[in-house]
Order: sequence, then structure tokens, then C-alpha cells
Amino acid sequence: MRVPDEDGLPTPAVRLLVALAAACVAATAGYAAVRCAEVALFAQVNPRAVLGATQSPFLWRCAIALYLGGAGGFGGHALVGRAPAAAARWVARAAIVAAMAIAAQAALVP
Amino acid sequence: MTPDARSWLAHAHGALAWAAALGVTAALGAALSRRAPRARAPLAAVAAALVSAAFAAGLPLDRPYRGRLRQQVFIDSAALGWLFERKLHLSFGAVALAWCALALLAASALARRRPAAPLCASTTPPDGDAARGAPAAIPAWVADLERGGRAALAASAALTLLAAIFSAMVAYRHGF
Repeated sequence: MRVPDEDGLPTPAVRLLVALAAACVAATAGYAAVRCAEVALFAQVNPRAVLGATQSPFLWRCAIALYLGGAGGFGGHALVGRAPAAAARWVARAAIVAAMAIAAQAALVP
Repeated sequence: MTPDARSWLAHAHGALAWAAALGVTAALGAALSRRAPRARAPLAAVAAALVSAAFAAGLPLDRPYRGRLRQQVFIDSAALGWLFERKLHLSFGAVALAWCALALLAASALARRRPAAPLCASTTPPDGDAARGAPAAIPAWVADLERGGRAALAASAALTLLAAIFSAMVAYRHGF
């Protein structure tokens, strides 16, 4: 793999890795947002009264979150190509925010 | 899936979850330590692989859980049922943040190999083995990547540990 270019700009490998990190962060935040939207917009059945549905809500949430993460990955790749310093700073901050978001969602909207 | 296979898979899932919790914690320790910076990304890779394996082992159990166990758990104790639902959310976050940490630490390790002219005016001094034979300073954005990797790893470790504890609490009362 190549090392950073002579002018200090990140190599394509570094850009891809930062894009992957952005995708993971977006997927985490997306999962929390999807679960909150699910609770806010749709009636939740009583789990004591209903046997599990055929489709798994958890797997669907994961799939939607991965889709959102893919969008975030493209955004991260575009950002790191134009402003690597800002991308590195914001991905690092967003990782903390996403972790807090999913922890809060799990605590308040299980 | 036969009951025996389900039980075996549930045990394997539990064992992998605890191994993942240990692995992520060890990777976090290495990431926070100033010694052996070259081991950070490989250890984060092992941690991400363990967390992903634990998550993947749990996926085939989702259908039997919803079909056979979920209602019983909620009838027995709603608090325990919601605890398991919380564990599902935390496990997704743990996997995603473990991969985020791996990507950021690997990007930082790649960028540290030969730091060139910094993009920003501010730079931070290198530490440990990476400093040997390298220029005196690394770009600030590379240090940001490493900081983000550490934060994501810490978050993943916390989520993995909580998910493993919640699973154990439910499995103590209910099993396949």
C-alpha cells in the first residue's frame, strides 16, 4: 500500500479507510434513528400477547442502518478527499456522538 | 434447526460474546498504551473479528428467539425482556464501532508510515516505536484519526461488555 503523498494528502487507501469509518458511524447513528422512528411512528404490540412475527424487526433495522451507513461512507470519502483534516476531526467526533446516541436509544427506547 | 444445534449455537454465541468483550478491552489497552504502536491496528482487527463472529453466531438464533423464547421471557419478567431487547441494540453498535475503530487505527498507522508535510499548522510529536527513524512530527489530522479510533474502541468495549452481561442475565433464567 502507498504511504501519504508528498504533499501530505491521504492516499486512496487511507481515504477508503476513513470512508469505512464514516460508514460505520453513520450506520450506528442510523440504527438509533430508525428504532426511534419505529417507536414514534408505528404502534408497538405488547410482547407478552404476541408471538414473534415472521419477519425480524431487528434484522430489518440492521439492513436499513447498513444502507444509511453506505450513504455516510460516500459522504466520508468525498469529505476526506477535499478536507482530510476536517474529515479526521469530524469522524472522530461523530464516533463519540453515535456511541452516545445508540446507548441513549437502548436505554430510553428499547 | 434441531434443539441440540440451537443449544450448541447459543452456548457458542455466549462464549464468543465474552471472548469479544475481552478482545476489545485488550485492544483498547493497547491503543491507550504508548508502547508498541504497531500492534494497535492488528489487535483492533482481532477485536473486530471477534465481535463480528459473536454477532454472526447470534443471527441464526434470532428467529428461534422470537418464535419460542421472547414471549415467555416477557411473561416471566418484562424488565428481563426489555433488557434483552436493549442487548440487541447494543450489539449492533458494538460491531459497527469496532469496525470504525479498526478503520481509523489502520488509516492512522498507514498515514504514520511516512508523514509528509502537515496539512495543518499544528502537529503532535510521535510516540513509541513509530518515532524511530521517522520525521519529528506527524500531521494533526493523523493524530485525530488515532484519537477517533481510541474513542470508537472504548465505546465498542463498553457496548460489548454491557451486551454480554445483559445476555448472561437473561440466559441465566431462560435458555433454548
